[in-house]
Amino acid sequence: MDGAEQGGFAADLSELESIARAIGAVSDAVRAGWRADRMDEDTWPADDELTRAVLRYRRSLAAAAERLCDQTEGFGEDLGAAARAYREVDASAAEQLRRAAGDG
Amino acid sequence: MGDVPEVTGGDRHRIRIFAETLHQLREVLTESDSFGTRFDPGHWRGPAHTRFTGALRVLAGQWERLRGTNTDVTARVTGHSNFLYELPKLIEEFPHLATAEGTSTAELIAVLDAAADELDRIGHEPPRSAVPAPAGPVRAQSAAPVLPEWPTDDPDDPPPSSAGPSPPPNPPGPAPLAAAGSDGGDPLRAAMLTGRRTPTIPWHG
Repeated sequence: MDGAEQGGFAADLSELESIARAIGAVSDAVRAGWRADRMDEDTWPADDELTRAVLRYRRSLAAAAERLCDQTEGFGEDLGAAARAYREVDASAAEQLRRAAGDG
Repeated sequence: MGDVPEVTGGDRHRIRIFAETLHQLREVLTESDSFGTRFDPGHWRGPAHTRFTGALRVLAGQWERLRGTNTDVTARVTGHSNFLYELPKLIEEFPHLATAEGTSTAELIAVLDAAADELDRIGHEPPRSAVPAPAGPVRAQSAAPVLPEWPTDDPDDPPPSSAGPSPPPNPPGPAPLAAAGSDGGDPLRAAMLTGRRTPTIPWHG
């Protein structure tokens, strides 16, 4: 019983912040990789069924990757916000207890 | 005879480049490998962590679908590319294969279209509404802070419901907060609600 079942919690805030950055790095790396894609679509013949399918696939792949990058980026930001929320609550609780102790 | 190398010549060069770029993009996508396990904080416990891991699984599953689809297509395009390079030699020995390029290309087009359909379905789930987690009576030892509301698709882990009358389905707007303790809970609760929230992960279930 670690207290979580009773509404308690435990968190290593440095770990949360580190993972939040690592999650954000996934989006950055994938986007950077896509920018390095140099396939020249102009070399493909126009009005060709294979060209249409190839270009459609590439665009669908890029769009899906970008949607997931967006979600991943937001996910990392949310985790960073969670770490900040924990810090704020802890600071607020400490301030309350300081006042309760008549310390200032 | 002469038309087969001519037809495949341009295509096979382009297809080879296409296959190479797909291999490169597949390498890029390995950045998302093991997403669900790599990013689960090992020292985090509590309700927020439970929600987080649910959302993490959803997003990891989406990345996996993307990688799986692209891996299959990469293998297929690579195979087609190899086939086109071997085809002129094969036709010399097996003339009836002269029509094989068209058949293989038609199959490749069908594979690409089906894969594009699959990719178009990935990552479209609407973000869930921004509903802050209700804060229970504030007790310094047990209250969890209000954190970004991680969605979860785990049907075995529904959001906790109170014993009161059933709430209407999909209540609009923020859920009402539970009454704070009478002994100075308000400042703490206010502090809980100031965290930035940018829910972007889809809610399933």
